[in-house]
Amino acid sequence: MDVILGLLYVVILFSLVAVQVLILVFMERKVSAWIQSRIGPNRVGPWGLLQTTADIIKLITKENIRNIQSDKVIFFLAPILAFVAPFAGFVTIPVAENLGIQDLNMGAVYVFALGSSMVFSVIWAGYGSNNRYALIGAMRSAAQMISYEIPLVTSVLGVFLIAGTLSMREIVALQESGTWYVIYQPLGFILFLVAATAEANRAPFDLPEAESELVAGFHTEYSGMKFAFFFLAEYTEMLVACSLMTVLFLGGWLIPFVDNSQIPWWIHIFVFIFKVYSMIFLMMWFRWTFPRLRVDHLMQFGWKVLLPFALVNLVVTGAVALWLKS
Amino acid sequence: METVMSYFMLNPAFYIFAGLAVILAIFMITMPNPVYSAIFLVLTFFCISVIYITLEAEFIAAIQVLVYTGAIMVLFLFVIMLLNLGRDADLVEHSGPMKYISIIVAFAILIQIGLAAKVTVNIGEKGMFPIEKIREIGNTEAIAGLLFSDYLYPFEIASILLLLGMIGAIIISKKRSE
Repeated sequence: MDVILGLLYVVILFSLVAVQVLILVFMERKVSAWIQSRIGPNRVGPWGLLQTTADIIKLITKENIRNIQSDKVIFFLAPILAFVAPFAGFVTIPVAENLGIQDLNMGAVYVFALGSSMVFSVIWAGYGSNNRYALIGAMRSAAQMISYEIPLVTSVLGVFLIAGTLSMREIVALQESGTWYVIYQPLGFILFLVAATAEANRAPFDLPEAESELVAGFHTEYSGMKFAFFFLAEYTEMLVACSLMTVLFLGGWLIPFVDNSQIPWWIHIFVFIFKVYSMIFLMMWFRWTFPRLRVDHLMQFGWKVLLPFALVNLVVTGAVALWLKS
Repeated sequence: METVMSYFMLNPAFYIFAGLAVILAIFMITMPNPVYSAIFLVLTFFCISVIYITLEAEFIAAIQVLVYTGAIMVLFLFVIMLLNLGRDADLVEHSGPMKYISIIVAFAILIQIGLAAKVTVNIGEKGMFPIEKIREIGNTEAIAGLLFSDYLYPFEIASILLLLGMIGAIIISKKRSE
């Protein structure tokens, strides 16, 4: 019975995520157009709403091309893993007080563990394509993802120190009685935001797929449905990262200065979605504002700026927590 | 046969994933292409982390994926891809009689482990941390409590060793680039 219920969850979650990604792609186009003083998509459907749907149909009906010298199995596995790893992260994210598939005792670590296996999809895509540009893109991306994972995880350790738990639901519940953790951990929040943007391979950290230098990086050889999966994966990763930020720093489904037990659950869901989308808007704003970093600057920024600050943040938080306790 | 089935019914997820882990490990050894070997090793690690989950050790399961697949295996893949090992055919080892001797030795060790397990595991006493207790205090808390009290010195020594290894690696790579 558990198995059937689990499959049902997967189907519901997948359709929810797919719809979200459709909205996100449309939102990205409109936001970019707005920032660059353009109109954006406006021909397909009212306000261009069906533009993404049309694009998806185009992608699905495209011919599935595979380089004859590419590695068949690895080439096939890479886009699947790219999507499954961030998708599985949703399992532990609580959307409202009693709405979330499974509250794990170490929920946040689970999401990071899945995020760390994302690197494989990129390396496999680069290796399996048997294409130099793809391989260089994959190598860059792997180096970037490994480097930014360390500040990403270190920057949230402060939150865990204050909360004293790794369970997502408990972390949100703790923010109900006190304040949001972004007040206690402003540096941690900024570091997490930057590192998460880099982990999701988004501009200004989009070197792995730098169109002007690498022809699109690790997914150069991908077309049709397989390319769509990489596309889906990027936005799914962004959704997971922003949901994590909402839960860990911005109080999840809670409304500030209000008694939250009086508020019906469906308003909580809307609050959660609003917070997630605000963070996503911030990430899109980054993308269309900052120019791309150079590859050596990127590595230096990760190791010499983000990581030391994250460590200082952790040590100070630990010291203050110890001092307050004694 | 009945006892085998009763063992299986006791914890089917464990036996399925343990068996899968063994099969994937065999694939990992027998693959001629080292990149495939690395992939099978990653899948083996995932199976092992599922086994940890069936033992209610979720934290160890997540750390297993985070450290072994996310960090160590990525470095393995890097090394394999950068070494440029050549065609698959060149990599097949021809070791002659040693191959057969090692198979016999491996089986002997396997039987020994099996016998030891049969004696100790089945009738072993319950430890200090049975599943009920871990459920009560939470598995992350259980590990942290032990690690920072009874095993503090081994933990600190291990961290210093790792730090030394890291500094050593940086020094070696610096020397080469100058």
